[in-house]
Amino acid sequence: MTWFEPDTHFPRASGNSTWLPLVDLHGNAPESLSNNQIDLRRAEFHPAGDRHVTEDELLAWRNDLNAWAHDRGYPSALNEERRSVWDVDLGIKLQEDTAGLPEALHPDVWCWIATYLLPHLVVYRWGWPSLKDGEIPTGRAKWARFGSDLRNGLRLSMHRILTYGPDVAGQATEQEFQSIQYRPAFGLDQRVARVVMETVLEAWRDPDSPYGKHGGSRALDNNDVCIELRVINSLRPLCFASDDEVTGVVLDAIERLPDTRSYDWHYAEKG
Amino acid sequence: MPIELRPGWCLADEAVHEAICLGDWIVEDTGQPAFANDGDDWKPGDSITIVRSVEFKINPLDVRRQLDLAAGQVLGIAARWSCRSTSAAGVHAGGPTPIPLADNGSLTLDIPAGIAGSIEVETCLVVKWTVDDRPTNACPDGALVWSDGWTNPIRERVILLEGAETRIPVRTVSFAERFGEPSGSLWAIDIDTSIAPDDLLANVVTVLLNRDVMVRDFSDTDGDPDPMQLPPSTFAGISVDLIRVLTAALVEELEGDEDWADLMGGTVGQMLVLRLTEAFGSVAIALADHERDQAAFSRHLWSRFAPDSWKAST
Repeated sequence: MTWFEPDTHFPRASGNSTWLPLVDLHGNAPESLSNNQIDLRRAEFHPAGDRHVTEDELLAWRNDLNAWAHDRGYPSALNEERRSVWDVDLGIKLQEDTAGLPEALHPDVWCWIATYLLPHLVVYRWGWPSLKDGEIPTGRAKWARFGSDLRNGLRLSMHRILTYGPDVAGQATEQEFQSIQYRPAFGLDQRVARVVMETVLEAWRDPDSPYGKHGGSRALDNNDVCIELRVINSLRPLCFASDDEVTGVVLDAIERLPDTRSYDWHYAEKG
Repeated sequence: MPIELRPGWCLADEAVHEAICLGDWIVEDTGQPAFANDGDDWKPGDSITIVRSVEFKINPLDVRRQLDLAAGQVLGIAARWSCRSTSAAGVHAGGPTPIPLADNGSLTLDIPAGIAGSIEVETCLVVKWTVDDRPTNACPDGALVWSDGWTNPIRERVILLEGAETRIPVRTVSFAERFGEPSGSLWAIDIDTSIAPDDLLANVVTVLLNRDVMVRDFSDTDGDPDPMQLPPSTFAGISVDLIRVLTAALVEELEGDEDWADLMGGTVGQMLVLRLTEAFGSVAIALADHERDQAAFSRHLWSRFAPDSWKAST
């Protein structure tokens, strides 16, 4: 159930300095950010957006999200297992609340939401950017969890639900997500990404498969498989292959893992 | 210049273009070339369908010889799109398998609504094998043998959805319904009553086009308002009106000791100061004209915004 009228447009934050308003907040505990003030008058909207979201609507949504978070243990610390469950639940919640909105996937909208409306949920999951030489870091890259690209903490959890579905997303590890996400040549295509992930998870459950076993780890094996997929994809685009064909290519790469584990992939990928 | 080493089975650009002719990508709804989009014709939530014709320049039966295909090799045509902003990608309608290259036809990309920023598009030729017994060193099944991305740089394959420049919202509304009485006026400037120089232009200013007049004088074949038919003189008039209205609304702030250089891009103040300086030489001269001689003020604005031609044709 979406929280908003179907044609509602959201504020956006774009450019290289979207992180600046967060510098003064750096180090604060998530709870102290739960009710940050917002100012829509100074916020940028798409010029073709007829209906702008109101401040009241946004604050009501945040209250609902805060109550939802408290039901899941917020603000007590997350361990690794709880982090995974939190990511999936948050992705489902955000996806449901914004489904059907014209800018539900817009990177600049999620940058604004992470920076002004829900920074506490980003800090709770990902923490603040680490200090550098005792100083608060500067620059987009260091503040990527609040930024516009897919490293944005809120976008990321939603993207994983949209791409893989809750069941698959709940079984994959952070490194498995990243191995695919950081190979956009094939990972941008959600069908391909989903088939790749389903295949490696199936291999992980298969006692006869070398994936993540017999001297290998899920993180490193997935990285090796995805590097090989990237090379194959440049000659034989996986986006033009059927699900069965993609599965076959992934299984072949997994089959070769005992050999490729010792291969210097870094050289192959960069060279 | 980067050196790319491609497998020997890849086709030369010239050989492909001698065999088939690929039309421009066209936006299905508007009939306009897709790569000519300037960010004004799309809004969030819109899907977009683009189509490209595929025609043989030679007899389709001779294509195999022209492209040096081996027995058992079938050539397919395919297209893919990607949107880096929303981390999404997809392939041609009827995909993912490439469409066998047999007759004249077309490629279609149905790009869904969850997109933003820009879309990158690539057309490819892909080989499928119909036999198991393949020559030594033959390309694998599904091999990419040609792509327009190899010769056309990304900037020539990008459909711009959202431009980076500031845009002022334009809405088409019936003035009879909105203002309670029929009007022959074509446009009106609508501004927020509490407008301030550091407000973002797109949030507080709207250009209203009168639907009643648009339908009568500037409609498409379906009878819907078509702003593309408006003559350049209309845009000049809207620009002059906009600057006059904003100057009148902000005259007190403009006379104050504002440091205009501190205003962010896209704000009302920044745009107004820029345009007044362009037209008058400085904000102070503009304000003096505005206070002393409204006629001179208008004349200067018209000099700045006058179209290249006053002829009414679009």
